[in-house]
Amino acid sequence: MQVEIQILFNTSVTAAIYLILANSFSFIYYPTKFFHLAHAIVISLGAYFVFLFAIRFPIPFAVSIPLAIAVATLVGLACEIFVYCPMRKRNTPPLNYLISSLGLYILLQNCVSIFFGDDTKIINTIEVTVGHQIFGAYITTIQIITVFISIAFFIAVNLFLNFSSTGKSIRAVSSNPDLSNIYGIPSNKTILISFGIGSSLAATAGILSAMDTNMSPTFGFNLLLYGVVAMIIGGVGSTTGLIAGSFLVATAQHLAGFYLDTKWMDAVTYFILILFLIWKPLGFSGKILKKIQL
Amino acid sequence: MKVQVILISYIELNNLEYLLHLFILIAVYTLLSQSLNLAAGMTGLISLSHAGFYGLGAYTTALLSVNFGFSFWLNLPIAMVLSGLVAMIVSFVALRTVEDYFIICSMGIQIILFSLMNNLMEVTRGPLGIPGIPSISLFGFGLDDKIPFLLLTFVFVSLVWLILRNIKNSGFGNTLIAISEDEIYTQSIGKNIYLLKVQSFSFSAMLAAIPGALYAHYISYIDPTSFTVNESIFILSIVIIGGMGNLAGSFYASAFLILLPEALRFVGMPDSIAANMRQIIYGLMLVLVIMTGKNGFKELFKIRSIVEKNRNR
Amino acid sequence: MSLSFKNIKFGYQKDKLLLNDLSFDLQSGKIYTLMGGNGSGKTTLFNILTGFIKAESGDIRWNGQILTGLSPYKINRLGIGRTFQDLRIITKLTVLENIVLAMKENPTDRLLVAVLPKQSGIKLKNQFEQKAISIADRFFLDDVLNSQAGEISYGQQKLLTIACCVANGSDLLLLDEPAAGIQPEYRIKIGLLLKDLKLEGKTIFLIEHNTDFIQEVTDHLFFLTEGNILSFDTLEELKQNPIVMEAFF
Repeated sequence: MQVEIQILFNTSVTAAIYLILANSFSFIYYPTKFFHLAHAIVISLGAYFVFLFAIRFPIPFAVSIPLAIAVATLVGLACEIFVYCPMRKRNTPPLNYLISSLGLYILLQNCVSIFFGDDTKIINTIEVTVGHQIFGAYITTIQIITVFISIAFFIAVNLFLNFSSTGKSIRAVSSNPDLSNIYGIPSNKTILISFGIGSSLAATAGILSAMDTNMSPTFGFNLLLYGVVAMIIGGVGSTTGLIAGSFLVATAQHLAGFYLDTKWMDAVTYFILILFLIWKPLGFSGKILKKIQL
Repeated sequence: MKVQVILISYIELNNLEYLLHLFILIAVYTLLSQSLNLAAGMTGLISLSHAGFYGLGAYTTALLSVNFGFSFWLNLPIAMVLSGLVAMIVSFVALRTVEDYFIICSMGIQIILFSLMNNLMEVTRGPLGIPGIPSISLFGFGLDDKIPFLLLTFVFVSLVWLILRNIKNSGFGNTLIAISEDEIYTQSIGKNIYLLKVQSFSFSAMLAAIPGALYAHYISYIDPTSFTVNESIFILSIVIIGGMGNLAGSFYASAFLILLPEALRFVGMPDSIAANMRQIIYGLMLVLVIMTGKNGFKELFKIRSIVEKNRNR
Repeated sequence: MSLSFKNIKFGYQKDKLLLNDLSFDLQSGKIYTLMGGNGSGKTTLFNILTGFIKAESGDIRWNGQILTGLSPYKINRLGIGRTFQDLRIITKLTVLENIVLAMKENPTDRLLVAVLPKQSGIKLKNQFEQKAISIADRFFLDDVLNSQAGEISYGQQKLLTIACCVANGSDLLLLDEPAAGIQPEYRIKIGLLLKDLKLEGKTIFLIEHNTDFIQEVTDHLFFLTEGNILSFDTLEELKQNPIVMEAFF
């Protein structure tokens, strides 16, 4: 019984992180319709800047965390301003965005490697890594915080998209960028806002994950791919699908870790992804993404 | 790549042996990037699983020669057929997805292949790798030395280059180019694009087993770190920087990106940064090439020279 | 050769049918024209016939064989070729390569032949190129034979799409607006070419707006409006029809 509860706890925490990631990634994916893989570096950077500010020069966490999120968000915005936006003006084919985001990722990840080193780092703070015993299973404070932040973000994002005017314009750009330009919604500005929100969510997820376990310059990439898998499985364009997707990925990983071995977690995740891409390419929600252009 | 970095630190610069080693690496990456050029460059199947098939070739050869004492000349065709078969099975499913989803799907395939190499301890010895792969022998002569080995790789590079050039100039190659440009039109003139894509993807993976087998016998020790997603991204970058569908471009880009860290070391950059610096430079080149919408790095300069000419007038 | 549509139904929206129970036949060796207002479903009909879109119900029979449900490349191999309203050519290839590409049974289309050195296939390749050159000559493309297809003029690109369709060797040619947006002298040339093709036994099905051009070439007319198809023998007959008048004006 104890083991089952522990697996349940771990799954929920992992799912919570994936939910934030899937949310942050889809925020950018909806209006731009491409996979911004350089997002991975924003995840890593959030954590690394906390490490820099809070551990290297001791600035209190309460200040250094928002500061780190802000700096990481600026990097995300820079990607849009200096790379994707000029590309959009040139009307480059859709596939090229993904490739250039790969290039950006390689570029920035190696900058992080040079600056911070390739070794594994931990953000050790005694207060948040204390374990609590609930029903005989352990959960740390940071894990509890993670779950709550994830739920709060999810609700906030949905309220924002459905009720604020900016959120509505993001949805308008998502469904048809050209038409929204005609109706006076500036698509470039809206996309910039979604990059800002998406990046700050991603940086938060990175910090939470790094505080829970540890980090290396490439840890953002793995995390991001799990988030992307959760988004694809959940069905692009569906908010509740994201929850289902995150839980499915997290559950599969923890069950694989428990019954097989933790080393097979990656393989299982991608196996599920490939199964979904073949038999249910539209994910749980079943919404149609692209129509064949004739 | 890791093996290469370790080797660099052991072998002194300005050494002929080391120079030959670099040439052999250039040959390996030329084979890898040219074979990917068939799928990615000509057909438009941007695949991030090439390092996986490269690894499949290397592991097949290594396991066959260490466990059963097979020679390279028997290993190579087995590795090629196996790699091609796996690619064919995988592509039947992966090719149902399009564009971005295909890239993510191929990345998933890469990660699964890596995961098998890294975790299937009983077969591949996982992260410990496989040591003691014998060198290639030809007509009873061992090719331990670098010069004969380099000549052998040269033969393979020429052969693959010739085959790919023939394909590029054939009706098959033109059909692949047509698929990359307009799938709907290509279907409308009676081409079975699904089958052609499977053929192109599988043949490309089959050719990737050649550098895999060569590499395994050359370096005599392989481990999974040479066949990661990052390696796949690197090979794809070579193709894009060299120019999609441009075989000579792939060769020049391989040579440039292999020799780049050496050049950086030559100007006094420490070893630890030179490796990262190379990745930074190729990341930057990749972004520049894609951002400007040019086909390969060479074209960036073409435009610039025209601009300069106009200015001079 | 015979082509018959039976009870074809299609609609993008559930409640409104774009094509409502269409039935008509085409006979061999004639030039047919399909007319209709914008968005009346002319191109959709072509897309259904060539397998790019699936009809909701009904079948299409071609020489007794049901085409419904076949993939586009199979339909083409049965002898139905088409052009597209937006010019679809392979801009990265030359004009000659585009024509050769459209030809069927090219031996170097097979991977196993393609990897071999060129010499082995040179005789056959030449034979194909000769045929392609003669097609190019016929379509006034002889002086741009080795230019990139993306770099020739709009009118020449339009000619190239028809040349490719002819090189494809189909019995039924579906041409989507072959005379739209090109100079009058080319239009006359295309008209003459279509008549030549008819004499060679090809059946041609056009979508066209230009009345002069239609008057010149067509043997039979169809008018598509509100999901129904009307059939006429001459353009005059069509012009005097009250339903057509209502749809156009």
